[in-house]
Amino acid sequence: MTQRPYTERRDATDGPETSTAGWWQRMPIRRPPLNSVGQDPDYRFSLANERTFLAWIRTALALLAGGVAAVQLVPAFKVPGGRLILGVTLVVLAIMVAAGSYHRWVANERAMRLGQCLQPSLVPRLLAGGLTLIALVALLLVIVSG
Amino acid sequence: MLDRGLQAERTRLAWTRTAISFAAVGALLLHGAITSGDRLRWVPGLIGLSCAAATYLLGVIRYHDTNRKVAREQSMTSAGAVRTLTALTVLTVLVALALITT
Repeated sequence: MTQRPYTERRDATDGPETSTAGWWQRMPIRRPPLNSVGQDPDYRFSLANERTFLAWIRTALALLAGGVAAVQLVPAFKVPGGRLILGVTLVVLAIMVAAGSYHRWVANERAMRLGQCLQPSLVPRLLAGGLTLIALVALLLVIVSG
Repeated sequence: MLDRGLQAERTRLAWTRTAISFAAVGALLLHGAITSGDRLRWVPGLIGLSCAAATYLLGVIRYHDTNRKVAREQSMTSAGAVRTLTALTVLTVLVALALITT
């Protein structure tokens, strides 16, 4: 299945100043649809990208489970609101990992289609930093609680 | 040539593992809600379990779609499936956040 390049499919009269164009078309940095960019990569690489995305989603769900367990199952610390702080931080980290994993899937797929190098992602650093912070807070709460 | 290296099957199993993760989160949310006695608090857990079922079905659809498109030498990438799963995850996280903060 071949597709015309994205640039050929745009009407020459289209432009941000066109009053009939929707707000989405007026955005200056709208990227072309993924399937219209470059060439289809080997399907095994696309599937590997998809499996990586699924692994990140499972990581986000594990963080979510940890956050819920911290609030509902862990005995109360002496510090008031300690469990809630831990739980909410874990859940917020989960949402950031989920959003970051989607962005990473798109970026990897686009890079493969264009034959470019895969760019390093911020998500592993975000996860490592977030988990370190949460572990330190948990350690502090345990020490203070005696 | 179908599924060299069993990649489509591995991906389907990854979708199934993700569905199981959703089910575990849903069960955890439901467990906390049942012990509280408030029926309204069952909603996040039921949403989690529904997302688990939806994820499993999405994996099955992706598997058959991939095999069909690879056989026809068509692109099998599905941004829609990835976006749907991201939306299901964000939904589950938000309802869980609402549950633990109320």
